[in-house]
Amino acid sequence: MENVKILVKKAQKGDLAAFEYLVKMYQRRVYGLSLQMLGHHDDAQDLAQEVFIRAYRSLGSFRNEADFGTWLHRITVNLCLNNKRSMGRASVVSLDEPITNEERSMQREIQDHRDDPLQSLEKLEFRESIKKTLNELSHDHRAVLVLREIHGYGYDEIASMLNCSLGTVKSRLNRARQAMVKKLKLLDLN
Amino acid sequence: MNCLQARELFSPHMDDMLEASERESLMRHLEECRVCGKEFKAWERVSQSLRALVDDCPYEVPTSLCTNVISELKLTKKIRMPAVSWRKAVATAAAVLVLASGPALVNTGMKLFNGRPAVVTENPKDSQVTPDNTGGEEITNNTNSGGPGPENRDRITPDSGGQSQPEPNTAPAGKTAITPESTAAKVSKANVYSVLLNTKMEITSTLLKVKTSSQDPVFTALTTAKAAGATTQLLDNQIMDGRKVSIIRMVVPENNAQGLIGQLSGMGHVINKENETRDITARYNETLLQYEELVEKGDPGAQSLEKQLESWKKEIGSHIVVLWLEQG
Repeated sequence: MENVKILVKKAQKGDLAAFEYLVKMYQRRVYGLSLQMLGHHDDAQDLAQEVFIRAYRSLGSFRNEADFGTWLHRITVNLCLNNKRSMGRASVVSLDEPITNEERSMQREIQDHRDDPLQSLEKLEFRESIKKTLNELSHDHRAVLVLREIHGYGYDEIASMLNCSLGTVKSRLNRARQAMVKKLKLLDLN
Repeated sequence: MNCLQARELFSPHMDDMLEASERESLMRHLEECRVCGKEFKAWERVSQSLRALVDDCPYEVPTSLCTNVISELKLTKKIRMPAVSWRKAVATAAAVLVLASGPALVNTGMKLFNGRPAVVTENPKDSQVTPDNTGGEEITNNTNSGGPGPENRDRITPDSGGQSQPEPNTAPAGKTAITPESTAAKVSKANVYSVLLNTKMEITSTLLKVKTSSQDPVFTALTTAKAAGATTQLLDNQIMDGRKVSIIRMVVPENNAQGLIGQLSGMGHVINKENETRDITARYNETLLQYEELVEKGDPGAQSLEKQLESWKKEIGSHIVVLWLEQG
C-alpha cells in the first residue's frame, strides 16, 4: 500500500504515467462495481472510465492516508446515483451463450456438474434471477445491497460513501432485501 | 417476540449485527413460527446468493478502458510530462550501467577506527556505529577526502558494458497529443514503477578485515574478485601507523559471494568479519521522489541522487564485500 501512496503522490503532481499504473491496478475493482450497479457492460465501461477521469481531476482532494480503492468505489457509487443511469436494463444471459472468461464459462460450469445437471441448471437459473432482480431494484436499494453483500463494506463505510446516516443505510438494506425476496417469490423461485 | 418484531431483525441478522439476546429471541421465534421460518430461509438464500456473486462474476475488464481514460486525460488537460533528464534516467535503469567513475560511491562512507571494527555506511549521514567504537579517524569516500580522487582510483574491472537507451522524443506536452514514448523508455519507466510496486529492496554486505604478508595483496584480491564475477573499486590506499592499508569495495553476484569471501579470507589472518543486510525500500522510494522533485525544479543536485538510485538498483540482488587489507 505504501507503493500506492507513492503513485498517488506522483499522480497528484501531474504524473500521468503513475496514474496509468493506478488505473491498471484498480480497473477491475471499479469496473466490477460499475457492472454490478448498472448491469450492462457498455454502461459499466462508460461509468468506469468516467470514474477514473473524475478521480484524476479530484486527486487534490484525496487524503493519502485513506484507502484509494474505497475512494474510487465512492466515486463510482456517487456518479452512478447522481447520473441516474438506467438501471433497469438487465443483463439477460442465455444459458446457451458462453460468457467468455479465461477462468470460467457457464457452459463449462454445467459440464463440471455432469453428475447432476438438473441441480446445476437450477442453481444457474437462480443465480441469473438474482442478478436480474438486483438490476430491477431502485438505485438506492441496489447501491446498498451491492456495497454490503457483494463488496463487504460495513454500515459506516456505506453511510460515508452515500453521504447518508447509519440509520438510513440500515433501513435501505432492510427494504432492499425485502424487495429482493418479494420479487423472487413472484418468479416462484424462492 | 411477535412476527413483526422478528421480521425487523432479519436484515441486521444477515450482517451479524444482532446482540446475543436478540439473536436468541429470533431463533426461538423461528423455531415456533413456521411462516417466519420459511421467510427467514428465503432471506438467507438471497443473501448468500448475492455474496456468491463476488466470486461468480464472469466479466472481463474491457482492454480499452485504461487507454480511453489516459487518452481522454491527455486531450483535455495539459499534461506536465517528466523532464527530459528524468526520462533518460529511467530509460537506463533497466540496463546494466557503466559506472564510468566512482560517483556511485559518493554517498558511501566508511568509518575507520584505530584497531576497531570498521562499519560501512551507505550514507555518511546515516552511520551505524558499533558499540565499542569510541572515535578515530574517519575516511569518507568523497571528492574532498585527502585520499586519491575518483579519477586516480585504480580499477581492474570496469562494469560490463551497458549502454544508455536512446533518449526518447520528449517534446513538451501541448494541447495536441503527446509524442509517444519510445518502447525502451516505456519499458524502463515500467521497471522503475515495478520496483516501487513489487520489490523489497535489500542490500547485503560483508566487511572483511584481513592482515596479510603477501607481496601484492591488492592485485591478488582484485584478480580473485574478477574471477568471481565481481566489479571492484579501490577506495583507499594509504599508510597508517607504519602499515599499508588498502580498502577495496566489491560487488559480486550473490551466488558467488561466499566463495569469494572464503578466498579473500585465505589471504591472511582475518581480523574482523561482519555481515549486514539493509532494507532500503523506503529510502529508495523516498530518494526517487526527491529526485523527481529536483529534476522538475532543474536542480543540479538531482545528478547525485540519480547516481545513487542507479547504484542501488545495481546492488540489489548482489553482495557487497568491503575488503580491508593490512600489510606489514
